[in-house]
Amino acid sequence: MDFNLTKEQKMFQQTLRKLLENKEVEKNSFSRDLWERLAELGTFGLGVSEELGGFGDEYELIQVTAYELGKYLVHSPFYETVTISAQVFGKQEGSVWRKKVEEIISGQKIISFIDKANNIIAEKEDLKHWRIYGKAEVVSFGQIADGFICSASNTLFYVSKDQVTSVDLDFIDNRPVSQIYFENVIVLDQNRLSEVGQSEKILEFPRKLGRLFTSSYMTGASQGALDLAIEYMNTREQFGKTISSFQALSHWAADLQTMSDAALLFTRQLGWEITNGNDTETSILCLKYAAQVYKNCATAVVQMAGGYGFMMEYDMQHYYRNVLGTEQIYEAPQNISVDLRLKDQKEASLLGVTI
Amino acid sequence: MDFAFTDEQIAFRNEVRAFCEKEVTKEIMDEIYVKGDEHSPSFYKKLAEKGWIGLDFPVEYGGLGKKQIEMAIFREETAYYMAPMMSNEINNILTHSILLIGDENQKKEFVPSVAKGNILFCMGYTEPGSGSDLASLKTRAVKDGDKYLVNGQKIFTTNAHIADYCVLAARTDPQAPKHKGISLFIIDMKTKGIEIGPLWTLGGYRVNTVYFENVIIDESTRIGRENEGWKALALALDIERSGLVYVGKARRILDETIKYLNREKPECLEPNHWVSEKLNGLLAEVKAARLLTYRVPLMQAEGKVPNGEASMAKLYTTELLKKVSTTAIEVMGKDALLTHKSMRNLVNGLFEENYRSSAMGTIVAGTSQIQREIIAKRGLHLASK
Ligand SMILES: Cc1cc2nc3c(=O)[nH]c(=O)nc-3n(C[C@H](O)[C@H](O)[C@H](O)COP(=O)(O)OP(=O)(O)OC[C@H]3O[C@@H](n4cnc5c(N)ncnc54)[C@H](O)[C@@H]3O)c2cc1C
Repeated sequence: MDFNLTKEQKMFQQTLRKLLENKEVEKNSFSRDLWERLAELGTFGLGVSEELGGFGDEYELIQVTAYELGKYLVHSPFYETVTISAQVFGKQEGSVWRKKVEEIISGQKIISFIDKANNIIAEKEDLKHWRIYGKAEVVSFGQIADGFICSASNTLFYVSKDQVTSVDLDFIDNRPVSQIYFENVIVLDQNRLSEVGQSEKILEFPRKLGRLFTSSYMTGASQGALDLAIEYMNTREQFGKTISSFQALSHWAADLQTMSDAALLFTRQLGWEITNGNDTETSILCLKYAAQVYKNCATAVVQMAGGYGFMMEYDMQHYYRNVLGTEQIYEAPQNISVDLRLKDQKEASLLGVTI
Repeated sequence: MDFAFTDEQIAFRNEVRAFCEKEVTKEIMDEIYVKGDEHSPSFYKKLAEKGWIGLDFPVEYGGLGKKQIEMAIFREETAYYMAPMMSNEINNILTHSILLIGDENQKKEFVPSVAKGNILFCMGYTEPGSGSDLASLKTRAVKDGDKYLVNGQKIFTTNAHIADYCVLAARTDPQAPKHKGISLFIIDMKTKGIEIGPLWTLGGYRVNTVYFENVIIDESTRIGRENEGWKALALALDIERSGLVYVGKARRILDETIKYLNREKPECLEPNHWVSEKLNGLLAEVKAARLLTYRVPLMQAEGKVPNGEASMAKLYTTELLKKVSTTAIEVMGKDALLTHKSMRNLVNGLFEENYRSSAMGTIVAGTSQIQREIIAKRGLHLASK
């Protein structure tokens, strides 16, 4: 057993870190330039088969990438474009879809994802066409996306940006979100990406990768927040001592660091399990855990810095504003759970032969 | 035992509610969000017309002379309606300092004017290096004949940019033990040498840094005796440790959440659904918290000094408000994170705004960690050695 990154994985992590450091990434913001640099690094080909121009099943590196992006609190459509869209396109036959995957890998195209919770309706117009209508409320990167993968009446479709209307919304952490209107959009049957009524089947694997991304991002963000607070506590003095010497804070930080370590290992395990094809329900549990840890950390660090933590000039507020947005946009973990009724009586704890 | 409000108290609560229903308009909330001041002059004027700025000031100084319990009801209900009450809170605390130790001239000059809504105070206590350890403050007021020369810096000063006067805590005896060398002054904000700069908060509104550079003030601006400011400062700050504001807000957020879910996702409210379970738990906590908060004014009315009890109320309600604000968003989903500026927001962005500003309660007026210290030491008498 070995919980560490391999030498190559560490090198990849270092390169990514250097990029993020050099770019002096502004927290809670999206930069096209950075997106292109991430493409140059090859991050968008992670988990995409080599045949399609990707790097194969490098799922563990998705964990590494997401963790670093989280630590620097970068907004990006990685979840929507890479873990969902590249995977779904990659499952389709034909050169059109192959090209779309290539455009994702090279960073040219951003695809957003409209999940089933939006109640978009798809009806058969004629033999070759579908009519899609409804509106999707808070679509991440909706105004930036070149196209959408949309779950409508439990069927997946590809819809290009010209077919819909996007209205900008203002979100707590300034991430780009918009409302997307489908006003009787006519879509060719060729642009249907799943069997009719079977969207979840094709989304099963992309969702797992999505959870790997989100939980790793949240874990990186938890650590980023904690690092800030620890640095602050070690310098701020009250009552003639550094505030880190007050157990009310130091024990609290110790609890949070323990959880953050556990979340890091949990997300690495998930990357490894997906690679080895033996992830059962880990992705759901991992997402729930990482979200809880991130919420604990993001709220704690504001408190730990007192009045300064509440000021926009200090970085703690970025995590506080980011956490619920990340949680609620990316498959709000409250709304998914492992179906315990299906469990083998002997293995109700889900543990199995791996840790 | 008696857990019921009197008929007069119920009538007063209804009056405050009716007032807020009418006066806390969307225009006022928009004004606050846009300007980033937690103060609305037009709303404040309406409060003054009702006499409620001076609700608990003595009648002889232009107040209504109401008791702590009425004040509690007033705080809870105005908070429930999210009325812009910050300037009133600050004015109330600082006016009580004047009432406690000010001389007759000061009481006559300031208290009736505050009650009429003609004066706004700001509280110049916290400094960059002195927050929780407020008594370590370094701003100096050096006596020179019948004047004082003030030098120093204050931080996080709410309303400094719109206030007429600052109630300033400054060190007048650097040799004395730290609590014993502090005096309070009422300084006109137009005095030469005062410079104000903005600091923007996670809550979306403005606080300030205030620099005092060779500011000359008259001896008559000192409140109480020299070096005896600490007690009045601390006593007045204790006034709002009852947590009523936070419990009022928590009730409102829960009510709006339940209303929204009834309308949009009624299936979530079926018994045993996780959403319903969570909300039930929070309703229970809010009810329990409300008892802790009302214990404080009841004790005060009996002439007792709620110490650990006030800290319990403040600690529990501020932490609870954060929990309620977060859970509300979790059960409603991402739409609740749209800001007041955004199209499609829910209740004018109430949930988003409240989630951000709820992080403040556990920091101001003594952080949660400091409240726990007070409960442990003064409430439980736990030994510290
Ligand atoms: C929005 C806002 C408005 C404000 N308005 C005003 C105002 O109008 N006028 C004014 O004078 N002040 C104002 N304040 C200041 C406020 O009262 C202080 O922020 C508060 O007292 C905490 O001090 P601090 O910010 O320096 O934090 P610090 O005291 O530096 O605290 C940092 C952390 O250390 C912890 N800590 C400190 N001491 C101990 C200890 N002994 N044991 C355990 N933990 C400890 C704290 O709990 C906190 O987690 C305002 C603050 C805010 C955020």
